[in-house]
Amino acid sequence: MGDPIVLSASQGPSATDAELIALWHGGDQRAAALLVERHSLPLARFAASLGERDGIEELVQDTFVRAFNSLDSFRADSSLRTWLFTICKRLILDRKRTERRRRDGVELEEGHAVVEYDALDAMVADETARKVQESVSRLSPMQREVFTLRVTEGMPYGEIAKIVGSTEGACRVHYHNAMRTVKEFLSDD
Amino acid sequence: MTDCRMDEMRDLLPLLAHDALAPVEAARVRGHVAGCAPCRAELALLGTLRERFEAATPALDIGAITAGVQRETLARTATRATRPASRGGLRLERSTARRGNWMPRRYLAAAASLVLVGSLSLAVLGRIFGGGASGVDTEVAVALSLDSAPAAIAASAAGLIVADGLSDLDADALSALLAELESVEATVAAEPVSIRQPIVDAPGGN
Repeated sequence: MGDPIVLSASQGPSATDAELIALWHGGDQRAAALLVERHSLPLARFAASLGERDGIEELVQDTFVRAFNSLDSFRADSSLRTWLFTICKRLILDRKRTERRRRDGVELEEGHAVVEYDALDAMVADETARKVQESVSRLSPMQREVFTLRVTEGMPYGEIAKIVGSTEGACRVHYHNAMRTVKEFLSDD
Repeated sequence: MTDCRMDEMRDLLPLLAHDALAPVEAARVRGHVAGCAPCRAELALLGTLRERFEAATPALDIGAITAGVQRETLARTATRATRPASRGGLRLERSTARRGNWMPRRYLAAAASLVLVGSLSLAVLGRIFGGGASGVDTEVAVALSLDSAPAAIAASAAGLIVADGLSDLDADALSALLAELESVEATVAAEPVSIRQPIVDAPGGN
């Protein structure tokens, strides 16, 4: 390894993810704090857009814990942000599976109808929000993932493709189809 | 609303909204947007959507998340720091143990080689001089070897040479040989000198 990277407090926030990872490997917990600070909100936005409402903070924390515990295996083929989103998505899917199993069990026992949970309920704060929510709720899960990553994070298609497990071309198509659906709904309403 | 036909430009609008384009490309897209009403409308819609998504995100306690992450990762790091140390220790012990066993083996192997070489040399000499050699010749060869060779070599040398004509020795000669063997020191004072030199110089030698 080369010389250790030394960052002053003022340089920390402008340091790249790779530099902060190197610092963290050297035992600098402040670097971990900076990475958490930098990526927490985008992860929370992503989780919310995928329908997570409860325990988002815990989900974000779990994402970082998993990431830090396996940083040795991070090859930097993609950006840290993409990797974090991928971990977050896996955790969300795990949660949904667990929730579905539990819900199915309750339904079988008690005969309750399962109410499908809408991803963007929390968005309804005013009329515009309601309309946006409805338009986005018409998208397929894949379209919604691609669309929110593109719109809220400004991610290139290459990164989105890694997160959603698809190709750049397919993501481009999903994005444009999603945009058309949203526009059509908003203009009809 | 009619969409702009320039898909490439529409594709870049979200990145423009996030200020994620290179300066030259950003200028190009801005130039297009300035003259394209559908793209201006789409850019405005992107802003609204982004705003709504952000508003729908619950507030986070970043400090609590950081503390939780550090607590979890520190615990894990501490465990990992202990494990490799003990593994390393084990490896070190093993390698030291191997080295410890290896050194005496090397000396034993060297000694065995010396014994073998010495024995073979003396056996050859025994053949050369032994056949027509008198008892004196045998004694000279033995004495030469006993003077400087290690005890083990000397013993085996004596054994080899004497074995050639052991039955010819009478009781006195045998006792004398045994007494001489007993007087040989067990430790070697110095490296054995070549036994060829004295023999070559010996009377009757070539």
